[in-house]
Amino acid sequence: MLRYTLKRIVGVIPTLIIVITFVFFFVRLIPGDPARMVAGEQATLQDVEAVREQLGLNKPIPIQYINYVGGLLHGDLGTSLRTKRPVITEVAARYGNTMSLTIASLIWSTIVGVLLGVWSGKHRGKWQDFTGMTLAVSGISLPNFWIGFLLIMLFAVKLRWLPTTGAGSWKNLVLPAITLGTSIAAIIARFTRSSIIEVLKEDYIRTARAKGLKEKTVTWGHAFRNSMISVVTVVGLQFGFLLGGSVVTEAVFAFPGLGQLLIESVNYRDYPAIQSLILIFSLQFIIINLVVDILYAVLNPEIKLS
Amino acid sequence: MRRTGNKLYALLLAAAMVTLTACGGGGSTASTTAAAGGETAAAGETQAQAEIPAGESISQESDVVAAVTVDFTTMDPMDTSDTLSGGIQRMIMDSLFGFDDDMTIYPMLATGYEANEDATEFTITLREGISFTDGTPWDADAALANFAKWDDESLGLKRTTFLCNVLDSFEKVDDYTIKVNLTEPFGAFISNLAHPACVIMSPKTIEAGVDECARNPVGTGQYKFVEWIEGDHLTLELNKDWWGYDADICGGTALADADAGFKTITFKPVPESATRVAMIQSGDAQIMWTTPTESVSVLEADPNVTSYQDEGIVVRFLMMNTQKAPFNDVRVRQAMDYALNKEAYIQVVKNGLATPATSIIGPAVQYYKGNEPRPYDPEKAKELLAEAGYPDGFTTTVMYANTTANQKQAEFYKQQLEQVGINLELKGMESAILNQRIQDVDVPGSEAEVDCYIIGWSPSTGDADWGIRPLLAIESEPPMSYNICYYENEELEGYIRTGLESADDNVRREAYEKAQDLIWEETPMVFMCVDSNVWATSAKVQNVKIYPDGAINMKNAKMTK
Repeated sequence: MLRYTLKRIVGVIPTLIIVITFVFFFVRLIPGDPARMVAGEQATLQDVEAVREQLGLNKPIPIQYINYVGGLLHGDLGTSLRTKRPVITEVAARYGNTMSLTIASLIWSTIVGVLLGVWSGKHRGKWQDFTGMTLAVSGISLPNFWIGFLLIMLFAVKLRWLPTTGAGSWKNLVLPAITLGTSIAAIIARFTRSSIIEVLKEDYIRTARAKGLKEKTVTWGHAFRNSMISVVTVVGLQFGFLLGGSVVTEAVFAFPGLGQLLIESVNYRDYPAIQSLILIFSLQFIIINLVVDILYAVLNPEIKLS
Repeated sequence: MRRTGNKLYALLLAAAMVTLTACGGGGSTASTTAAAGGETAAAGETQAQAEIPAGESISQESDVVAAVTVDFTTMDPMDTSDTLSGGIQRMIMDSLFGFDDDMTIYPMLATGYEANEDATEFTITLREGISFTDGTPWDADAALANFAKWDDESLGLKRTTFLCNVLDSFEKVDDYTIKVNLTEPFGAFISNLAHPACVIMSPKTIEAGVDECARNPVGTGQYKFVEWIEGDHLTLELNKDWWGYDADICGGTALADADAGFKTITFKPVPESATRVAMIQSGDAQIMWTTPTESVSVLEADPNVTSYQDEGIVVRFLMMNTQKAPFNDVRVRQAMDYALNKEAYIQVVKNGLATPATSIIGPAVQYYKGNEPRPYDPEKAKELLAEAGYPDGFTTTVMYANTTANQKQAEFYKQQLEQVGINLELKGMESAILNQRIQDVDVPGSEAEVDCYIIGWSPSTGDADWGIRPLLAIESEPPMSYNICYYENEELEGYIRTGLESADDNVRREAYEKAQDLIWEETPMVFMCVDSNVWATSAKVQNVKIYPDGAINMKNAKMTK
């Protein structure tokens, strides 16, 4: 397995080179002049030109590319055009927030999603299934910003139990985590349900029941264990997405995470920040995929990593 | 996703548009109940707020939170292009000259000035007995350190060209007097010194370099900078030794009452406007600006919140390219003016939170002269169009940044102009793309793509010069600046020159009044409205105002239990 892991890590390098190059040229294809955006409203041409020179945007693009890649090799992600601070500082300030929100959302949505999915799957076609899936469809259909505002109105404005906005304490995490996790819990519930239904048809379940195992053991020890693979896949994917920051939820709760940073960077055509964020998001996805693959083998020893 | 993206963008843009400086609040309206309509009550007369008796404010023991629309960009005044950051900087740092609530200039760190007749030499006397919060004394050397920074093009700061082209030399006359020589006559020089870019930093900070200026500002102001966590909050702490509390140093009357000011203020950027409203309603924030127009009535009905509105200096225009047919004919431009119903515009587009424009600049701007707005008269518009040779109207386009607010404006224009036979095609686009297609083109007006353009403008210096020259002077045609009307008029150029080349108040006033009459008659753009600033505070908080330019003014803020 060590050999496999190492091989996968080496395999990441060409992907990263493609991402770096693609993103570098792609952001420069977006119409719009960062010098103009950074100089701001009411700026005269002279102001804009001064900013352009200051930001090094007057150099030829190939030179800019070489400088950028050279910086990356030294671990330098560049300097944000918008704030003139190192991009790494900008990202670091928000990374922890996005990470804790992601983990909080995933933990509750995985628990709730799995329970709901197993419950619905086991009672396929009965009222339990109907209730579970109604909840799941609602969870997917209700827009994030609407859930967010509803929670704010209830828990912050009316009851005053929780703060409306910000980050820092666990109290700040509760409402955004509920908002963000709702649709994920719903997705996990649906995947778990169909997976459980598949597994319950298998011969070994009939065998387990025939040898007189308790229904609880059959459900959790056999059926659930074998349907874990699809759950892990979904959770892994969602983890990757959430680490990119959620634009809507972050905006509603004024949560200082990566989603807002990305939006601001795009609006300002802040090339170094956009490049670095995309690079970081890609890296995260690659790592998560790797971990998920390894987990497959742990969950099902029949899967050999090679 | 897209929805919120656009909203964020709209907010960013809105914040950026309400650009720059001055003081305000003379005609503030505070209302908690049914103060709907155009009625403005004087600030003291509202039922919502009982006056806080002198000495009973608990604000200096109170930590408050203020919810704002976007994050700050920098704390270096010369590198700032947004009103929000500029407003916070003005709380930390004072300027040589400032604006009072009526937006007239008054001396702050200076006590006065003398100018020669040509407006090329300014001798400025400095106020004595003031120190920066890092202990450095305020004197001629400190002033010169700031002038040197403003004049240093190599720093590449966004506002450098603001002064460096006019500054020639500056010298110390004695410890509290400096003399500034300009390269060319510049009558608006003192107004420019009142611009938020020209607040005074500690020489130690300047010496420590531009990064220190941007991250750790030190001034002589009412508040000290504590910290700024990007994207999360920025905190200020009261400077109880501020000279503005000392009547002797101020020369008679203190700038603020002894018990005014908050112990700390934490500013939180909250882009989603509905969330800002929830914060003030839940008590998570005590101060909030700007109020989204659709939430004004909700906040007015909340007994724990006081909602305010006051006239600003952002004027909204529909610019027309005067070098392209059909707008090269003044009759067509006037017809456009007659065809657009300003009152309806204010109700539909602005939710009633604006007043009809009466000049190219707002009433709070220096040398403003109002004119009688042309009435809404579609018949007259059709007549003028017929006279100009367009009896059946014509088809034209309007370009604008596709924010929600602009989209609403554009649709309004289209509907109204249809009534007189003008077919307006809407070309909304993202602002970076718009900039590229409008501001970055270097061709004569007759070849430019733009026909009509939606813009809002506020003269950041509070002076007529910055309200007229960037929008209508020949030198300001794109790509140089914002004369997107491509308007060229020698008579107007003359007035602009006269206003620039004199420091004599009467000469300047006469020139700018004539200029405003001429512009009104010539109608290079349709003047729509002057935006109101709308904000809200907890009912316990008093005297928080918004300067006409949209920056926050908490100088005399107080709080009850």
